[in-house]
Parts: sequence; structure tokens; C-alpha cells
Amino acid sequence: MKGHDYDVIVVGAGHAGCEAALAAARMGARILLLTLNLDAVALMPCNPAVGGPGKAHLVHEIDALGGQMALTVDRCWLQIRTLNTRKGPAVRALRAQVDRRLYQMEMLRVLESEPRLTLRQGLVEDVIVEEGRVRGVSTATGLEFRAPSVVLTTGVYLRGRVITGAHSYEAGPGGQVPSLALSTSLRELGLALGRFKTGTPPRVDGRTVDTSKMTRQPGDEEPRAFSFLSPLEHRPQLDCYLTKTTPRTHEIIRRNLHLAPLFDGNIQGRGPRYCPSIEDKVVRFPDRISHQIFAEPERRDSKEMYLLGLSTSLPEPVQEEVVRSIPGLERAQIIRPGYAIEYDYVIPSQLDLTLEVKSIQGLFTAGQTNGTSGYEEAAAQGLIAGINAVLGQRGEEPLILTRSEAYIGVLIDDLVTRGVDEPYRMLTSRAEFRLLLRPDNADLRLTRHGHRVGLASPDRLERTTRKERQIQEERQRLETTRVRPEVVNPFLEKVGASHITESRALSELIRRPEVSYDCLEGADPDRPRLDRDVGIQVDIQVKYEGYISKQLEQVERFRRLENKELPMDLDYSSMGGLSNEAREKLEASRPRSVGQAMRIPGVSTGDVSVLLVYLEARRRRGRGP
Amino acid sequence: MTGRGLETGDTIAALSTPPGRGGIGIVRISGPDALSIGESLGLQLAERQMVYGWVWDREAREKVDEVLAVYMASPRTYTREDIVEIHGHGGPACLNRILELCLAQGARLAEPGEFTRRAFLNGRIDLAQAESVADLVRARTEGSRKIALAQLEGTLSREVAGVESLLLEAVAVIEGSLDFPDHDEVEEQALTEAMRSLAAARDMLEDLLSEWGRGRVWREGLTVVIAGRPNVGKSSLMNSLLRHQRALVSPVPGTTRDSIEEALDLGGIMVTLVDTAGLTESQDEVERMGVQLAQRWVSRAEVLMVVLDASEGLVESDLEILHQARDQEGLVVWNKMDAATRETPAVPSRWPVVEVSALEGWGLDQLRKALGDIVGESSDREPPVVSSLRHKEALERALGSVISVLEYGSHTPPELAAVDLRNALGAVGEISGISVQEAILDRVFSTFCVGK
Repeated sequence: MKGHDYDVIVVGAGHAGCEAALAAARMGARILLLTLNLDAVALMPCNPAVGGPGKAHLVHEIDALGGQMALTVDRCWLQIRTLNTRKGPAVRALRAQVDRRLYQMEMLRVLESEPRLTLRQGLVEDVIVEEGRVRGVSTATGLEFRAPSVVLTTGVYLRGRVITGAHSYEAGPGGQVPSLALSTSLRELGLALGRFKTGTPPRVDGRTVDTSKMTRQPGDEEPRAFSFLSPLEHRPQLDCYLTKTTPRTHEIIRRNLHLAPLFDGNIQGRGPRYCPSIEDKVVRFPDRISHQIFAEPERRDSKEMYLLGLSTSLPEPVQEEVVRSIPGLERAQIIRPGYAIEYDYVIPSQLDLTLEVKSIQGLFTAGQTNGTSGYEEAAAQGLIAGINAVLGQRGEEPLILTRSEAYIGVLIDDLVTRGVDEPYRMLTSRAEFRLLLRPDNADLRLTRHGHRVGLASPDRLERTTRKERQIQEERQRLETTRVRPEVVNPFLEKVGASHITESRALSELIRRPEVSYDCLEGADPDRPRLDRDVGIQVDIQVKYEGYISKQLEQVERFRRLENKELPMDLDYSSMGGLSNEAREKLEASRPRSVGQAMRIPGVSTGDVSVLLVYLEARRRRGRGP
Repeated sequence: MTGRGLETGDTIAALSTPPGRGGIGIVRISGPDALSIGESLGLQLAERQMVYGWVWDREAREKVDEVLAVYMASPRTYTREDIVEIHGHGGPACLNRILELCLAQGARLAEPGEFTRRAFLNGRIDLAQAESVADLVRARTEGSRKIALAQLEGTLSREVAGVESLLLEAVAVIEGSLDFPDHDEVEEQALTEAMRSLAAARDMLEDLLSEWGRGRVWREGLTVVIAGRPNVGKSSLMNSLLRHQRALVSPVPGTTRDSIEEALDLGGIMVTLVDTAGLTESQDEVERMGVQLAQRWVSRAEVLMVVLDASEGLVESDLEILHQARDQEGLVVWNKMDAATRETPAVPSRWPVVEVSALEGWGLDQLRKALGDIVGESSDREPPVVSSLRHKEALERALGSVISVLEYGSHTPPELAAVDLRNALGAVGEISGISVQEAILDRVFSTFCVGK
């Protein structure tokens, strides 16, 4: 065997690849990060925005684990806004418009500042596997690189095909070079690939947009940061603008449907339901007289604008007509047409929860390659794959987050256990323990994991532990500190809450929806001086105690099954009592736990009962866990 | 899938004798709370002794059944957990009531095969038997699922699907507003609309659960209710059909105040024949209560026998009764044909009409045959009843969750409402077998045009 050139090779420098490479390098490994095009590192080829419900949750979690995305977004935003402000803390979500060029430059700077990380341009055509182990990769230009771990983060480049009207060509997003041979190489390695489709809207020249006919959407006056480490920073924000399609828009689309590749059979891949093209929307919702369109800035130093809501693969002349039928865009000049893109993805049920391909030791896949969509979903997977590649080499316990501790856990479990039938996007409704997995407590949930793997510093862990302790103590104090009516009533009155007539515990008052921890400060002379973040946690924990404890009970039940491990060498084929379908599914996916087995489509409660019986039998024979 | 029943450590209860009529039936409770649950039913339990006593419903303050009960302490029991067994005498209705009381005290309804599985998991059953235990557990689980699904054919499944659809509608609006906050369409509809769907779901659930009582009757046979205005000879007719004097008859209108039930064999099909008080507006307090009871019987009868007086012809209140029952199945009986002075007038009803004289005993065979035909037909059809305790328990949980959302109305923080609604859907899903997560997303995406 030849010596290793690197510890980990990461193929693809998009959002997944950057996180994977950075995490692995920061954990001490020697990394080669290969990209098709050095000018396209950390590219945002679709909308220049990060965050929103579910996605922002992922970004905070990436940060708590010691990843990069949040820090870079915090340096590059053009506008920042908290969504769902009128709803509870579990679903409030930051969303940033990002300067997409600046984001790339920033990410490049960060990559280049890692001493153990080599960034290099190269088109990978083959993954080298020997005796079921990955050995490295080879490139189109005849180079061979060796490493015991390879992370594939190839995005939508695998056999990518871009389609606008009748015009189509093999390409990655935005006309990048596609990766054609790698698909074949993966198939030859025995991996099953699927084909998805996604799309993007036309971009217009901001100088030709009449924003006076649109509704201005400004950023927040008090911008917040994605990273727990970033200081709050005020900087001039750019506006977004809201407009709507008109009956004429819909008429133009209907008239041209025969030219739409989506409907004439030219596009075969399955597209996402949450990101339909405008022609899809018009067909599927014929009763809607208009659809929202947001005009968003892409960069501070360019006039280019992104038209969110107008994703399309209609021929460019039709796109022009469509755009100009929309208020404020009557004279708009398209500068890049919208397009659909079809690409291969690795069917993710072939992966372990570590994101390692089950059949090939040392090979990891992450990001859009695994059938997800979105920068945040990609980054989260990249981080986990990078971490696990290194932990695997060190012989340490892999990092597997559960559904009850992180959105990242939900994401990976969904991919691996349930599989995908459309590009997978994170939504808060996918998290069954949504009230516990909040953006505000990602640090409390995950910092210790980040520290364990070596990405979060001891100092950071210490700060989190201190915060945890302060929250605990303050909650205790609020339970036991009573206030008299004459002291607290003036403060209750200020927020429109009803008076009390006898002494009450402070916590009891905070449980009222209109009363906050902050607003009682004046009636609470013994209150210790605490960080604002601690106060926020105390407020949330006290207010939602009832629901939170209900969810914690559910987590407890969930954990019991999650902790029942299924040994990897279980022989499902010889288990009497399993249904044939369950036997096949279990044999193929080899879940790690009874809980995971239960979530596999086709495995019934009866089958799980059978598993429990066999587990016990095995334990008693003294070979099992 | 919910995973209920895959846990150990909680206390479970179930009927451990086959359902249906038998001499005695056993309710078995297993788990750490078995003893305290048994005692809470009013039983003086002693270890490994068969004790005699009464099961009490403390809340309703009434005796439920005369029983023998035994308590066996862990680990020398079938499941190796504490076990209490209650041997009841009162037939399926009483046994179910005892079981319900156990559940009300915190036990969980055991999954099929769960006692055996626990016995195995707790080391009670020999390792060599592992395979047969696995087979048995699976057969029980799948078998009962199939039975449950078979039960779901017809009206009940439609009703459950209706509830499910309303819940999904509400959840879709809420989840849509949480995950796609920038979409005006979603925001506009918001919670008020969800609340309307929920109120409708609550009503349906309440209706379904009110059928629970009727479900019992269903399991024990069809109910044929004799109804009509006072003194048309309903009790005489009942006696004639039963061929013995069961109901008190007199020429005084309003003699029957309570309702009287008797079992009757109609060509092999067992029915419960119910004689009711005459439907009238009475001044007498007792009789008024009798009338109310009669009306309840009428509204839940599987087959209705409306009795008319041939000596008086059709009167206004006859028409009222017939109109009220027009959607039910039944037949019209002209009684007192012996005293009829002219031909009976046409009756505005789609039901068959039979002419009899209970007094002289003629026409009764035709009546029996007509009744038998209707009953035979009706017994092929399943009414929308909740007949299994498992279903009832699931529907009750769903109702509880829906009510807790409705209590706060549209002021409920949506992410909290979503927790309760998912629980409700999960409970209903235990009956229908939908996968909650996928169903919710499907509904969100088919209802709203969301996304970029």
C-alpha cells in the first residue's frame, strides 16, 4: 500500500465541503480540498439568503458545534431579520440576505488561514476503493491523491444538466463545469443514485426595477447574530421588496406551457414541493390570482437582484414577458435567465448515521449529494461528515446527534432512515421535539459535543457550563422568591397584566403570557446581575415549563428505544416472525437502534416486538449488548 | 408508529379471557402500579390469596361487579412484575367497565401479546422458547391489527378519516404559518380557521365517543326498540313477542315508565327488545323522565318498531314519531286490528307495515318474519360505533388534546397548539394507521403554494 498524501480528501468546496474540510483540519487532520473551480468556492447559486425556520436552527447548531457558516454569515449580511417574532421562541428564526460575493471571499480567507488545509482545483473522476476501503481519488488531469477518508460533497454537479426552455446543456449551477465521470465511478462502486431537479429564478438589473411600486421590506433595527461568538453589529442594511404576480402573468404562463420543459417531458427528475417553479404554481393552484415575488439584493457592490418566487425553466423570451407583467418590473432587464437543473444524488439510505457509506469504509457523502436542498442543510452534513471522518481514523466514538438533541440529528436520521423522495429541506415541523430544539439554546445543547470532538474550545465549554448553572440557580430563586402585591402590581399594570391580591412567587407571574422576566426587574431587588442571554433562557424555561416538561417526558420514552442498540451483525434473515418486507428493509439498512428501526417505512410494531424478543435472547446467550 | 406498548416499566391492563359472553372473565393488571390500582377499585388484596369483594366505581359511587381477585408480587409471576387479576362475573359490559376503571387509574391498555413479551423480556420464559414467543407476539400484534382494520371498514373508518382530515386541516394551517412566515396566504388564514376545523373535529369525536355505549349494545346484539304514543299497546306487543308476561299492561296510558329490555331470538339472531314509555308530553315528573329515556332509546335504536292504534287511525303525534325516525331502520305496526272499524290509512313511511292484534294474538308470525328480515339486513351492516376499548381510548386522548387547544382558542401560541394537535393526530393515527409526519407535510404542500 502506498503512503497517504492526506488524512482526509474533501471533494467539492461548496457549503458542505467547506465545513467538512475546516472541521477536519481544525481537529488536526491534513486535508486536501478539491474543487472544480477555485472561483466558485462557497458559491450561493440560488437565493443569496441564509436562515429562516428550520434552516436558522441548523446554522446555530453548526455554530455551537464549532462550525463556520454562522461566523461567515455574520460578517457578510446585507440585511438581517427575525421571522416569526409574534410566535414563540422555538420557531423564531433569523434570516439574512447575504452578499454572495463577499461570502465567497470570506470563506476563502478562512480556508486559507488553516495551515493543514490544501485547497486545489481539480476534476475528480474516480473514487479509488480497495478491499472495501476507500484509498483516495483520481482526477481528469491524471493526478492521484491518497487518503484513508474521502468526503464527497459534490452538490448538484453530478451529471448536472441545466435547462432553460428547449436549450439544455451539461453543467453545474450557474454554468459551472459538471462532474460527469464521477457518477459512473460511484455506480461502479455499487452505489445507487437517484435523480432530482431543482431550479432558480431569473436575475434582473436593479437599475431597471421600480421599487416604488413594491412594498419595502427593511431589516431589523436591532440586528442579531447567527453565531454565539459574534458581537452584535450594526451596519447599513439593504432593503428587499415585495410584489405580486398578476392575472396577466398567469395568462402568459398558461399560454406558454407547451414550451415548459417541466411539462413537455424534457425534465424527468423529481422537484421539491416547497420550491415549485412559477409554472408549477400556476398549474397546481389555478384558483390563486397572484403569487408573492420578493426582489432581493445579491451584493453590495452590484445592482443584480434575485426574484424569489419566480423560479422557472421557461424559454428566456417567455421569462422576459413573465417578469415584465409584474408590478415594478415592467421595464426590468433580465441579466441571467432562470433555469432548472437536474442532477444525480446518492440515495441516502445507503449511509450510516455517521454519513459514512455503509458498504465502503472511509467514504463519506454530505450535502446536496445526499438529496437535500439548501446551503444550511449541506453545511450541517458537511460538518458531521468531516468530524466523523477524523473520529473514525482516531478510533473514537462517532458524533451521532439524536432527534431529541438537534435539528442536525433530525436531518441525518430522516435522510438515512426514511430516505428522500424529493430534495429534502429542513422545516421546524420535521422536529418532533420542536419546543426543546430552539435556536436560543443550541449552545446549551451542543457545545459539549463540539468540545468533545475538539472544535469548541475549553473556554467556550466553560462559558456554556457557567451559563447553564446561572440559569438553574436563577430559576430556583424565582420559584422561591415571593413578591407582595403592593410591590409588583405597578409593574404588572405597565404590561397590562391583572393585579395580584396576595404574595406570589416570581416564577408564577412570569408564567403569564404578557409578563416577562425583564419587566419584573424593578420588583425584584435581589436579582443578580446576569447576561442578557441567561435572562432570556430563564424567561423561556419558566414560561414554557409545562410544555417543555411534557416534551422531556416524550424524549425520555424516545430515548429508551433509541438506547436499545441493534448489533451490526444481527442476522435478520434468520429471524422467524419478521414480515418479509421488514426483513429485507432491516437487512438493507441495518439500523443502529430499535428506535431507528421503528422509523423505517415498512417495519411494523409487530416486527419491533419481534426484534425486542431476539435482542433479549441474544443478551441472555451472552453475546449481545 | 408511536411506540406505545414497546416500553416496559409502566403498568398495563387487559382482558385476558376471550371477548364475548362467558361465565367469568379476567382483567389482568401487570406492572409496578398493579397493586395500588387494584386497591383503588375497592379490593382488599392479599398476596397469593383469592379474595372476594366488589369493584367500586368511586367517582360514580356505585358498585360495578362482584368479583374474586388475586394479587401476586414480583418476581414470582407470569411477567415477573406485580400482577393483579380480577375475575368478574357480570359479562362483557362489566368486565369492560372494570378495565376502564383500571385505565382511569393510570394503567395503559396492553398491546396484544404484551404480557407474553414482558414475561420473556423479564426472563420468565425459557430462552429455547424465544422463537415461538416471537412468532406468538407477532401473530397477536398483526392479528389484532387486522381485526382492528376489519372493524374499521364502513362507517367508523369514514368517521375517523373525517376527524383526521379536520385535524390535518388545522395542523396544516398552523405548521404552514410556522415554517413559511413570509407567505401572506398562510398568515391570512391563520389560527381562526384552524379553530373552526378543530371545533368540528371535537364535535365529531364527541359524537363518536357517545356511540361507545351503543357499541356495547352492538357487541351484545341488535336493539329493537318499540315506540309509539301512550296506550297503543306496546307492552302487550312485547309480551306477545316474548310469549310471556314481562311488561305490566293496563288500559291506563303511561303504565310503562321505565324502559324494559329483554333478549329475543329472531331466527337465530339475538336481539334486545326494548319496550319504552309512550311518547307524550306529560305533567307527571316520573312519566316525563320515562319519556326522556324512551326518546334516547329511539334515537339509538338499530331497528325501530313504531306502534300505531288501528282503532284510532293516524294522529298528529304518530306522524311526529315517524318523521323523527325517518332516517332509521324499522317497521310500522298497526295494533288493535281487532278493534279497527275501517281500513287502516296509508302511512307516510318507507318502512314495511304489518297489521296485528296483540290481544287476539294474530298477525304475530308476520310481524316476527318482517322483524327478522329487517334485523337480518341490519346485522350485515356495521353501524358507526366505537366498539373496541382501544379505539375508545385513542379517541378520548385525541379529544382531550383538541379540547386543550380549543380552551385557549386563537390565543394559543401556535407552536404549542401544534404539540397538542400532533398528539391528537397520533392518537387517531393509532386507529387509522397514518404516518403523522408525512400526512402533515402532504397537507401543508397541497394546501398552500409555499416556497421560493
